[in-house]
Amino acid sequence: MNPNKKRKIVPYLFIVPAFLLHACIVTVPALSTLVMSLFDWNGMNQAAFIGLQNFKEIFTEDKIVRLSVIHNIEWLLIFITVPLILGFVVAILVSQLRRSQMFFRTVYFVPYVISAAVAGKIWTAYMNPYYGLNQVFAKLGFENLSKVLWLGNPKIALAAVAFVDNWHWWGFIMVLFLGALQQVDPTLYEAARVDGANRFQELIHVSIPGIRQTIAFVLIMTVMWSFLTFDYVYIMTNGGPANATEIMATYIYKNAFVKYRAGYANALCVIQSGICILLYFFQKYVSKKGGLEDD
Amino acid sequence: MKNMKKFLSLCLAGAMVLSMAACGSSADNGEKEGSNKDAAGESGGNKQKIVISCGLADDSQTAVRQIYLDEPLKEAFPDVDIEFKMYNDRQSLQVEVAGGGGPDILSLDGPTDVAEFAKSDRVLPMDSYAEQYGWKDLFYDWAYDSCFYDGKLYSLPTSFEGMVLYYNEDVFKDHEWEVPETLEDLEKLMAEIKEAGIIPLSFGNANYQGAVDWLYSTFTSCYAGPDSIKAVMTGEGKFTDPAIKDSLQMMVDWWEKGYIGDNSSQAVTQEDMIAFFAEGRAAMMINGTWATSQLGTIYPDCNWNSIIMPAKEGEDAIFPLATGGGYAINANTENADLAAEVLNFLFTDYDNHYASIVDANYQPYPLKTFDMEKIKGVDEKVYEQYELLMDAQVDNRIGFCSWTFYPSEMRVYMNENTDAVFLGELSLDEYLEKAQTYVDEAIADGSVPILP
Repeated sequence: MNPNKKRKIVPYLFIVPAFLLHACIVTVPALSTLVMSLFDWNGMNQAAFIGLQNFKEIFTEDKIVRLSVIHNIEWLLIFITVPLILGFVVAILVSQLRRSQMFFRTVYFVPYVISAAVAGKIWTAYMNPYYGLNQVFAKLGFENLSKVLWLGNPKIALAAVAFVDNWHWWGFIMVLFLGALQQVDPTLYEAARVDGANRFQELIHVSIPGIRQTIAFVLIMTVMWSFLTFDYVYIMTNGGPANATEIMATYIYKNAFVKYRAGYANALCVIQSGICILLYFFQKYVSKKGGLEDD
Repeated sequence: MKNMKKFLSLCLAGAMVLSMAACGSSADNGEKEGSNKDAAGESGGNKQKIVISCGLADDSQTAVRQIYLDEPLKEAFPDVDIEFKMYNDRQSLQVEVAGGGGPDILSLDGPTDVAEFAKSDRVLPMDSYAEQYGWKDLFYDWAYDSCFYDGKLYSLPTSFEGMVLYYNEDVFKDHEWEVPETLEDLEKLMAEIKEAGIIPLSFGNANYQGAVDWLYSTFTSCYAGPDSIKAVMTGEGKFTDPAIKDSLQMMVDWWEKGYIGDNSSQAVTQEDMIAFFAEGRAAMMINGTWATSQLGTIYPDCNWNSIIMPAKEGEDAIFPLATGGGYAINANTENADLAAEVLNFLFTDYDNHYASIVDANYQPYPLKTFDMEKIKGVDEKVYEQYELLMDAQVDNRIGFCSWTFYPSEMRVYMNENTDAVFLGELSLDEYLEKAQTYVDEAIADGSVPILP
């Protein structure tokens, strides 16, 4: 074999093990989900091929799917704004600190390392109408606030759970932004100052362009994780009250393990993945157009 | 030197691929060995092995189980290695069984759960063992019959429970309230309790939506009557019939008036529900007979008592009954005969069973031979509750809890949507009509449970 050919082949040989591993534990199960979505299967029995029946039911009969997708979109809208803005602003503030930076970074990051099960339970207790935060509101004289059923009112339950997930999540975003901000070349700030830029102009013309790839990464992850989220909803409301917090992931879980409809759950997974992929490309397109990513 | 490096690189890459393949195959083998070990029953030496699944338990519960189940089994089967295997959640067991492994004896959630395993041929029909060991004569007919699916016996009932009305004696004493004897008394009393700033009926399902099945099972059984439910399940009646609709309308009305869960049941957890009752924030609660165990261990100072849900004036009070779980034999086992023998021992080891009820608050098996005299040492109020259960059976005043007597999909639908009816997001008519469609489907495919 001539040296040129060898040079081309050898790198592929190094990739082969990882590729095989990925194919076995990711690609094949993923494809099996696609295949099983065409079957009537309770998760244990001999699956019966039913073509596109599961998809037909999803699109024409199942009202909860539509509701779940809407809830996921609401969730996405919350997560693509609140933690990103909060994380970015606090990262900017913390990046200005010298001595106490580590302290604040740790304090804000701590909720992220608390397990969802523990944090979910703790916040469920805080949101209990009889002994939680409502009692504090009552003592402070906020009568109306003290009567709010945070997890029991279908109109606000999703926002209440999203608040808790945000509480856990924004510190992580802040640390990502902080790390990125510290990578921005300090001479760029000096140059901007020499040109007469104020703090806000530094932010717009140096900081944001300097961390645009991190912003694009966080956006893309937020978009996808918003559609894959499960833990806090499952722990805090179990999809209730009256399906007010039902999201795709909890609905898939219920179909697979409570209703014994694994085939249908697979079809829902396919829909969920499809939505994620569409959103991924949409977000990539918007990011490129907005200058957050390079072509 | 350069060639040598390339050669080494290729060798390393090749070795990685091979080692991964080897890992894969050894993992497969390991799994097979594991499942064989579980299913075939060989554990190291020559001893046969039987694995029995059980729910998650803490150290004290495990210690109790060792006294009343592990040790007696060890004594009765000295040549068999019998192990209880804890499962954190139901899906782990389901996945293991679906994968061709799993314990030899499965502890499942009850007849509706067993039916799903039976549909998939994941559990064995036990009719021949029933004949061999005389199980038909061992259990109460209602409990035994509920274990059939498609004409075959697939499980044996592991507990015997019902829905009762608990009341906090201290709260009643402080306010000089009388224990209600009729439905009319109860409704009048709840209005008074509410007026006094106390929750009439503690209820919460924030962390388990399905707890609503305690409510609708109780209301349909007690106020529509068991005959109405039976008619629905046999196809002679409909779930939309006035008797059933009225009973559930009453449930919705009580919730809306704040009698059930103070209009905030969706924000209150199951643990809080018991706590509110025990601490006197609520005066009563509709709960299962199993709650005595929680009350006794977590709230030993709570002075509680229980009655059957009061009936309408002039009618008999109905006790909604259920079997709490079922033991089934895994179709993957290679020791089915031995598993059946172990099951037979569990249900006929009377002395240990009675002792477990008295000493550890275990739920009784629904056995015809159950002797109330043998559990005299149990807490007085628990004893009275069992007396109510026995009397209801003797007098045929039994109602039907959904987790034993409703078709599986109907129950899932009702569990997921009852809150929507409470909150006014779904009309009762729509709810009942949809529930009826699941009964129709179950009747059509033969999966509708048999009601006594």
